[in-house]
Amino acid sequence: MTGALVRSLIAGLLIAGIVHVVAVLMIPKVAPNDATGRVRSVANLGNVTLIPSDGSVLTDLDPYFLHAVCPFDTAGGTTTTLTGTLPDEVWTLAVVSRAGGMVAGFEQDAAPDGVVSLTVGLADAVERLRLASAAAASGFTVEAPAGPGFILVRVAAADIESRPATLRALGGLTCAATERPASLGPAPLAPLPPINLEPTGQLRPALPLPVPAPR
Amino acid sequence: MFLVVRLLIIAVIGATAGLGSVWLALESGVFDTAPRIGPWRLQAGGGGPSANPYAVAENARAGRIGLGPAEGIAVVAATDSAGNPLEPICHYAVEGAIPAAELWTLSVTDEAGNLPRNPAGRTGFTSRDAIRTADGSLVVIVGRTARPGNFVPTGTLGSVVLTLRLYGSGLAARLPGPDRLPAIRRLECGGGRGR
Repeated sequence: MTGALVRSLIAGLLIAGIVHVVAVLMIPKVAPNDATGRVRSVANLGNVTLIPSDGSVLTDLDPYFLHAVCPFDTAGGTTTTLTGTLPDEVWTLAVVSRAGGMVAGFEQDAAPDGVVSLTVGLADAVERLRLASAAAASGFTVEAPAGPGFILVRVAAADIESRPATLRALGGLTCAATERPASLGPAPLAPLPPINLEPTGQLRPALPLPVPAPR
Repeated sequence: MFLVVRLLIIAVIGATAGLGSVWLALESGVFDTAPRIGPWRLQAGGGGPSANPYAVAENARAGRIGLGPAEGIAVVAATDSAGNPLEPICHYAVEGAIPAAELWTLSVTDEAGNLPRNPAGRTGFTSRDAIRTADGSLVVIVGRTARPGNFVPTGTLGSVVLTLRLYGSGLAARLPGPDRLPAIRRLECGGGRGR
């Protein structure tokens, strides 16, 4: 009897360990109030939305910066492009995905003239754009995991006098979602297998290598 | 019947101990492996496959994203340089060197990220408006009642957290040492004298 209870206790603790690991790994995917969930509660797909820096939407924004978000959802092969001109200030762009965290970041040296064009999508959609569009080649492209996320634009507004111009610049940004062309057939249902054996016998990573952030 | 009881015990222990330990780990920060530089703790941004899963889970719960490596670094202090928690009834001097960056900002919040409210709208300082000492170092006083120089009133904040953000793409690759970040020295608390 006692031995059975001890075995039950040990089995329970083993199950607890598994539950612990699974729960820690699942929280980022299911937390309803994560950064993406908070942004999606105030911003719609395809719209640039200014968000306050007081912690009411995202909790760790710099109060000396102005912030705008461009939500996206890469599911189904949709690509989202943020375009516009940012002021001659310190600014950064961050691509945040619910499934992948912050998948890319850029700062003002990446576009000295302030003209930005940043396209986010699944790997195959971004690759299609790179191959098909010379215009896309002049901007940034970021491969993000399937699912929702957002582009966060941060522009320094440490000087009160500069805020109106910065707000106008953020208001002039556009955030456009482009559906996957039907002629391409259905979007991939799941990530590709990790290793793809080529006919030549060479091993090639099926997932694209990460694109380093331009300096 | 006894088998059912055993399965029930296993399920109850598995669920309560498993989920309870997750809650405890995230609340206590026992698995927090973020680098510490003096009183400052690096607030990691990003995530990705190599990130600490506990930090990723905690950031997801709190809705934090931090600064990515291409953007800069953010360091957060909830204690002074002696290791004592920052008390809202005390005054503190944030003093010393600050690494070269495109722009730095020092902001004061409470633990929930709320900014202090005051008529001047002063929530911190930046590299553009902070007055430096003759040797180029920085002194910012944080507390409830006004002090001369760079002063941030904490007002009615119930807790005090300092966040220093340094913007520039190369900073994440070469973190500053403790001597390159300002120290946090307690001045006085309430009506009494501090250290």
